[in-house]
Amino acid sequence: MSQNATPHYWRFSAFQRVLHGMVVVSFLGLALTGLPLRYSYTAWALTLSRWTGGFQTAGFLHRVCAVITFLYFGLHLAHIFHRAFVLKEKGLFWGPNSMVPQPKDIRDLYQHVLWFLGRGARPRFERYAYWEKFDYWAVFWGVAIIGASGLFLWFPEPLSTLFPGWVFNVATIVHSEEALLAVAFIFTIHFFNTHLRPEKFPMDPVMFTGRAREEEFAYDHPAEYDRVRKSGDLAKRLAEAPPVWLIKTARGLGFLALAIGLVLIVFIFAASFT
Amino acid sequence: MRLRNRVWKIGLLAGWMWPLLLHAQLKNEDCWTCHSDTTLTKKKGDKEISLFAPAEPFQKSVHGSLDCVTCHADIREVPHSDTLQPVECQTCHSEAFEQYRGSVHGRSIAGGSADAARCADCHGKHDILPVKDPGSRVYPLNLPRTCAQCHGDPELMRRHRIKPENAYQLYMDSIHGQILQRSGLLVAAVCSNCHGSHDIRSREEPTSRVNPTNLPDTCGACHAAIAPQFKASVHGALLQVRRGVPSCNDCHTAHSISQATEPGYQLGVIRECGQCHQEYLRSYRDTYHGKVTALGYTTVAKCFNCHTAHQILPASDPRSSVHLSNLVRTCGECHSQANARFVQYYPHPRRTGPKPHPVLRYTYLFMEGLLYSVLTFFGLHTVLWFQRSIRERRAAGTRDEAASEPGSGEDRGTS
Repeated sequence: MSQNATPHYWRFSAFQRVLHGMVVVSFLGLALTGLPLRYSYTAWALTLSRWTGGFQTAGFLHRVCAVITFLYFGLHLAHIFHRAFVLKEKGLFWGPNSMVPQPKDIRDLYQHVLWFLGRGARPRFERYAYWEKFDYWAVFWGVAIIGASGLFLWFPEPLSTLFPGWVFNVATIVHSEEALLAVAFIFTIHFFNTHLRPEKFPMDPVMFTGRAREEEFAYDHPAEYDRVRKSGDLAKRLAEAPPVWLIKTARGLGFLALAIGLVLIVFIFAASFT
Repeated sequence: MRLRNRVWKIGLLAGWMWPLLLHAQLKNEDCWTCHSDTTLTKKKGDKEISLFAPAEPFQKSVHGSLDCVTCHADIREVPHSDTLQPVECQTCHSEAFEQYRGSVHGRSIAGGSADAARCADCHGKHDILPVKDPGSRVYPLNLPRTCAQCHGDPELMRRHRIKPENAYQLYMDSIHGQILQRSGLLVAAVCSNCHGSHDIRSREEPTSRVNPTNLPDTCGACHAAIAPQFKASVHGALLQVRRGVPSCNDCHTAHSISQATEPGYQLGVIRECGQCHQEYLRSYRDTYHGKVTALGYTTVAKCFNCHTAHQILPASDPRSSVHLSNLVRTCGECHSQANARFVQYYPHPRRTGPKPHPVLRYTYLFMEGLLYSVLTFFGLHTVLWFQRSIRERRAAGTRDEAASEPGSGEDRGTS
């Protein structure tokens, strides 16, 4: 039972994991029902469009996933608001635990590139490394931009009482391009940075189980590990090893998501280079 | 005097009528003595030709009251010569024959073709019935099969370079063919409605009924409300002065005309418009309308929903469905809440290419810039990271520390 031999530490709360689950499900749903429209001139788009029930059913599912997206976005904002202004949690908007970019992130990026080139030590990352923060803000920006432009495309007639018609042309371009950026980024960069790089291959289940083994914690986020240990709070983060069913579920769903994403990215590449 | 006059008159009459009198000696029954024999044949080259020509079908035919020798005019006695002159229908049917002589069939025969249709090929020989008789070969319900003797024979058509090679098959699958065949309606266009009967001419000829410039009138003979609409359209007007302008057949095809409500047809017409209006098709495909139709669904706006099908006019024309003053109504056919602002939408947005809409151009450039800079930066970041990770792991492997390598994956989830 090697799982129990090494201690585990909490990284993500149940709330955060559920939210991420909503992100995964809605994002894949949006991609599967939206990409056939963007690549409507390809054979795979025709097939995918049929599989997703035809454009009207796909359009309905796309809107269901949009509602899930708005829901997790709203839940997240409410959660942050609650932590910051009700629980008066410190360090949420600035500091080592914050998701807000810090000067250290610039230094970490520079140091990380030096390490890539074999010219320096690997930077000692805090709770959220700079690329994790980019992932977070990319989703934040993406939901805002794609969500807003999507609402224009969802309700063109009522909104046309407030906006001229060409705004819907702009919304079409923004929605489509930003969605492609999101899909391309998540299915290549995020997948690699988080799951497919050799240290994590084939996937890092921490976002699904919520906890990481001690040596992973220490390797991935050494500055945070040291900081928490020195403050004596390490014991508070101690977690039981994730149950087998959770690992199996995480793996199953994670691989499914990875597979869908990778297949879609292959299709997109095929469409872009033919 | 009176007697001499009478003798003179009788002599004149007899002299003029003597061939008739001679013929009168040959009765139809005399012919049928031999020609009722089903086995009666003659050799013509390699071919064995039946000479069976019995009484009954002839007597029921439109020519039933005539004598055999009226048409077979060179027979004066029985038995007759083995080589007879061809029957000359023009002796009586001079007007039809004049038309035929100028037709594609008549001219081919004159040019020495053995395969082109002669009178008998379409009308039959001894059993010719009036056109209105349901048994006639040229009765509308039967005509397609009659023409198909040749125009349903791809081999023959190929030999004479006649296109399409399968006109009959295409026609029978078309809406006209279906109405004729399945519904049994006489109003369905048959071959002769478009091509004429005796005066069939190649579509290249300006006087041909199926020449593109004449098609609006030809089709308009049945589609009476459509022809004036089309003639008033930009296509209808240009058709008379310029080549390459679409006529009825360019959208509807010639023989395989389908019902205009068929999804396959409606989607195909979009590509047809795009043959000339390439830029407009391209920009249409950048819209939701264009993408949904590209996926094979007809629920959204296609070219003709906005531009109308037949009365297409430039947007500058106040009568046009896409003139500014008519846009709210046109868009309103699908978008019930369409208003003056709503119709400022570009149904043909130009984000690139000649004369782009500035707001769309810069939006697109910004979004593409963002897309490529993010993907390039992180793409490079990923590649560099990947090679470093591989090197680190190799180094760790040589130090025999692979087992303690964080996240090595294999040992997780196997508790």
